[in-house]
Amino acid sequence: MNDARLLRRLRRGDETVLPELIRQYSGYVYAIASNILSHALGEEDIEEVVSDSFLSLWENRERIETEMLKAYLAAIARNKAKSALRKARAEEPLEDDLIEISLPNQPEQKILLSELREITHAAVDSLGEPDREIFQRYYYLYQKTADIARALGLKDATVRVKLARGRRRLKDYLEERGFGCEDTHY
Amino acid sequence: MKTRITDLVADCCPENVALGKPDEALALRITDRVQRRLGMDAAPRRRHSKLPRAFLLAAALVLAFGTAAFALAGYGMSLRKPTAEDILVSGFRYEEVVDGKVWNSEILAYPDAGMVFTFACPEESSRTAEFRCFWLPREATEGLTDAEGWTKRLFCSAGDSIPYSITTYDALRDGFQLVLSGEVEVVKEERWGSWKVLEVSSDCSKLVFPTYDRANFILLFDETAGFLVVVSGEEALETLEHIAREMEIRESATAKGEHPDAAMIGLLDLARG
Repeated sequence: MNDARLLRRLRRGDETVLPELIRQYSGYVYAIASNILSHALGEEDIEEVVSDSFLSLWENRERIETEMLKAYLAAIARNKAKSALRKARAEEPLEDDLIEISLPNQPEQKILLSELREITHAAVDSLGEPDREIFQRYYYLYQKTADIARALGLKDATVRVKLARGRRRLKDYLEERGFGCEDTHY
Repeated sequence: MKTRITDLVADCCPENVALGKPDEALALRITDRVQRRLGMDAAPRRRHSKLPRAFLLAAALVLAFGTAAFALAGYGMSLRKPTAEDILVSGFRYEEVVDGKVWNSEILAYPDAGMVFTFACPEESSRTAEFRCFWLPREATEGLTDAEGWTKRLFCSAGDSIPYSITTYDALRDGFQLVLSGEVEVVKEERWGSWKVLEVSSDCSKLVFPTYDRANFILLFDETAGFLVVVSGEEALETLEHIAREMEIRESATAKGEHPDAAMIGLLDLARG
């Protein structure tokens, strides 16, 4: 069933859509949660995060503004999984994730994060394929480089090189817009 | 400030990336957890797990409108394999004018008839039925429902196939016949309370104009109210039965209109029900 129909039924509170949504997307949501959590938590906890994601989708159904159901679910799953990680006081799964950004001024942090995300979006958009997909798979879906390589028919080393190129592009974008950016990975 | 790239890419979800595998067991476990936490243990499809909804509905109808009147009415549905003696032609007559000449098309024969269902309706009623579904294998592509999901017809097409079609028949009267084409096999005959339930499967591959290889039909006939609801489609009978068992049927507020013609015979097909 296509997303538009699922969303229509979801928004009008049709309970029968839940099993269909879960049948269609539980594998996807589980994969994201597992990518983020499997190094720190067990199967039971991961499934709990998957359940939480669908529960949140249902409870917030009247506030869903996007038509991109899959992306919306992915965002929920990421947030739930990262929250579970924090609760468990476990480490983030990616090693080359942290960057140090020096601020051009001292605006409110929330506004700043929003601006940083816009810049990041533009930087990611500027990447050609398959670099963009690799960057998204790695940093958004938390896929391991070996899995990305397998999915795209590339060598693991090639994926790592392209990830480094993506990080360099992000740094350039940030610096061009007045942000200092330091990281040993660059 | 230190931040994470994974936080910065929060708006960068990749499109069209396949991730994860369909896992029916996982889906069932998650569904169970979510429904339990939402207090949906009494979800429609589970609420009356031991009794088909149709049975409950029939009981409700009888209580609402008086047992005696319906019970005495004695509506019935019988079936037979057509014989050579059967005259299976439509009573429907129409005229077409071509080049000023009137052509009568009074005989619509059913040479491929594999089964005939005949209805006994001793007391012609003006009442009609409507239904709502609590489970469907996929969303309908045609058929308007009201806010609560009540309707008289739902139809689902997928490319060239018709997974399912659900229709109420409001034009029944005494002696009315429905013809099903193809090589028809009666798979199941049951009684769900006052509902007579017939599950039939038709091999349509040898029809003169085959549009599908096999079509399945479940005829639900309420012998107390004379309602006929047909769940049909190219889906397996098990799937169609799942739909039927998760349906609720009731009398609609719409009265049966006048018969537009004298048709006493009709064709049972997927497009119609």
